[in-house]
Amino acid sequence: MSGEEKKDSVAPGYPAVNVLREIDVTGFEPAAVFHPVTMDEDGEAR
Amino acid sequence: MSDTDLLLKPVSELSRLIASKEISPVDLAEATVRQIESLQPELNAYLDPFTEEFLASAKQAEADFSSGNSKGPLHGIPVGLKDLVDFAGKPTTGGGISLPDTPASRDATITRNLKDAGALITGKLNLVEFAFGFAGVNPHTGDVKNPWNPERIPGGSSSGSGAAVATGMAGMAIGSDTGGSIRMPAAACGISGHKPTYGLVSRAGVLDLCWSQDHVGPMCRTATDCALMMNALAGYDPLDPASSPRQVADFTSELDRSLKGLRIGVPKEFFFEDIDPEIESAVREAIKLLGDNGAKVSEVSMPWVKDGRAINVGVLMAEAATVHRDLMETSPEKISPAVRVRLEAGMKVPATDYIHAQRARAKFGHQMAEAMQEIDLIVTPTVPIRTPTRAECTPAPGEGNAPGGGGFPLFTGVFDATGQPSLSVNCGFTSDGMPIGLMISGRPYEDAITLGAGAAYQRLTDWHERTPTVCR
Repeated sequence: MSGEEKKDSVAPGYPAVNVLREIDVTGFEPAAVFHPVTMDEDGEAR
Repeated sequence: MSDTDLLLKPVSELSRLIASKEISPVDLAEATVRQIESLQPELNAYLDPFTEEFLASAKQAEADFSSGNSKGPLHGIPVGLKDLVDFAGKPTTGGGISLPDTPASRDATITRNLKDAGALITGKLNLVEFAFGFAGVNPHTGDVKNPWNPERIPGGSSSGSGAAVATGMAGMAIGSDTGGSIRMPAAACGISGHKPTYGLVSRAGVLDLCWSQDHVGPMCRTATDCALMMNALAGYDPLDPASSPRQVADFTSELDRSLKGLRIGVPKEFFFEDIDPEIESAVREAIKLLGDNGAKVSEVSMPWVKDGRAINVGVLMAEAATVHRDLMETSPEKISPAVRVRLEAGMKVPATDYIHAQRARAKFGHQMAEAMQEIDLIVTPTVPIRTPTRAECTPAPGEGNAPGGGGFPLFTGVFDATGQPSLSVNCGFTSDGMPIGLMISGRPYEDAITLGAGAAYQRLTDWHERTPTVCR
């Protein structure tokens, strides 16, 4: 099927690492404690 | 009325029958025990039914009702706990043999919440070891069988919860969902399962798999029942660092709402690409029905959504390996090969990949929030493929990975990564008689709207009222 998870060369059973590494994450920091992102009416993330 | 006829009624109806004294909590509990004794040998849904304590609690509930002391809609309702939830005085096995078999010293917050609401704990339910897998196969505890066809997987990791609720071995159950483990068994077993917004339901006293993506939530026969259960489960808990301090809504507040004006987005990309044609047909029919009854349905473009599963897994693998690191170092032989392979893989994830995954997740959450500014809900299939057989999902001896079922968790993990509410309800059956899941996902903290849409769909259809093959 399309969307099949790619296998990687780093660790068997760790799918999709290649997909992951290709995502441009410029400007985004990892959250210290995760909270879902909501957006106000002006399009500002909270 | 047969036990099955009684036990397959939704909690909302059982509650009404108890309140009107047409049945008593003891009647209901005794019927549940008979159902467990009848079906457990075939389905293996329970690891430890608390028969004696359960019946004693039913007698107490009956006494409460006799003295006019009702605790609300869950009072007297049987509820099963996935065996990663602490119940004081009983060990929590996590579906494995590696954890200490000492009894939990206190209840998990959600166990306490359910008891306070008057629900009666039926026992501990089977699961995938450490909740780390989608199929419901478990070499330690034995596979849970699907009540619609015992050769098929029940879905996991909340496999016992799915099979128990589908057959009336519990009126409702607790599941947990890190990559889809509430919604996949809900879809495969033909019930309703709600993954709440991250942080609404406490994880304190629940075995960790992945701190930043673990969600605990209800598995019931209807979306209405899930809302009733959410009212008991949700609330700020200082014992859970991720618990949300937001004021908890009444999750039943949208149950009676019309579909009119509800804005439903159907993704153009990913969720309908090369899926099983019978699943696509059933889901598109359900979406049409929602539109015909007032919802405003539109296609939405979200090409980036294909990255959701990769982000979900990238975070999950590393956190799960960290959770179980000591065990992996001291006694890996106690972990089943399939789960051990996943944990070994997680041990090899570089810190840079994990942090990259978390950064990608932050971006993904923004993309999703932006996409949902113009829509209230995203409606998709819960899983893309037909329910595979247990044989297809069982690794060969000594092997880690099974040959089949790999696409099963592809869609659900998207909404674990974002933390938004996501509900699966039954929307039909494949030609081989297996249930099909419709996934309704809302904006963060809008669980009531998500559940309300599910309830509206179930008012229009009767898929959720069908009786599993094993009960006929």
